[in-house]
Amino acid sequence: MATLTRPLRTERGLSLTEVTVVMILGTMIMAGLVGFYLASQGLWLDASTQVITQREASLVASAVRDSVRNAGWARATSVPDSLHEQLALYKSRTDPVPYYYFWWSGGDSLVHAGPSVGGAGSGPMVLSRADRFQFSTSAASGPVAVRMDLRLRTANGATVEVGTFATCRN
Amino acid sequence: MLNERGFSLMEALTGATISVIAVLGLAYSFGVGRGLVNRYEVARAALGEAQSQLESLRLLRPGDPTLAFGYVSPPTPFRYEGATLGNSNWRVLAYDEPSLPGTRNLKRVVVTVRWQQDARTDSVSLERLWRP
Repeated sequence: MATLTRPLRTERGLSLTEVTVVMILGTMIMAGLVGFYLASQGLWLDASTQVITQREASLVASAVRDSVRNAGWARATSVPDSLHEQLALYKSRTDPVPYYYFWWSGGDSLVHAGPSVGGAGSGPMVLSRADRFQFSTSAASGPVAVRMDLRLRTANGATVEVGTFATCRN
Repeated sequence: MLNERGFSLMEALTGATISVIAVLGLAYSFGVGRGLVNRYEVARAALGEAQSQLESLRLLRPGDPTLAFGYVSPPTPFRYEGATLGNSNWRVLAYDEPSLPGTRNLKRVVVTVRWQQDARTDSVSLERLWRP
């Protein structure tokens, strides 16, 4: 019995110093990994929201450009204010009623588009809020030219600007 | 037994060092990715500027001297978010379309936007063929 209960040299376990060193090293590594994970997740979310807003800005610019090219005449009005304007597109200069609109809605701060302001078939184009949605038109001679300046705000508060210029070709 | 003695301090430190290097490499790649997002934000704006410039040239008369073969326009400022980041200009080159008679049968109008960001010079070019 005495032989069986005698502790073996290889089974002596860990000393307090060894356990402490391992715990300190483990804690440092885990803290570093957790910190890195949180930082990289924040960076990833930040970059993703920025990219989404950039794509949305490009989408709005592209849609406005294509619509203006397909129109015969365009008119910009400062509705609801000079920072957020409305663009009405007409099939021809003599057409009394616009067939398409781009506008900013004060209710949700989003850029909307559709055949009528707030009517059926109209809705927000993108999900990023617009700080600025301005148009300027010129038709000194020849076709009407439309300049759009848009500033969208990302979910984390950064801004993305885009501008486009197009001429009515119909 | 010898193979059950666990890790020595040196082995643990070596493993930790390798892990830290791997994590730092990963962190660097995240930082580079974020930098690319910022870089292409300006590139998108520059592309919009080039498209607008090319579109505005459509308003010129065909015989306008600024659309003559060999013309190089003076640079105009390229602004983004209130800051001037660079400039843009266009040049008109001759283009030979084999199916058309002559050798200078089309105008190749190239709009180039150049900008400086974080000590790096970038540019984007957009071109369109025009009938003279």
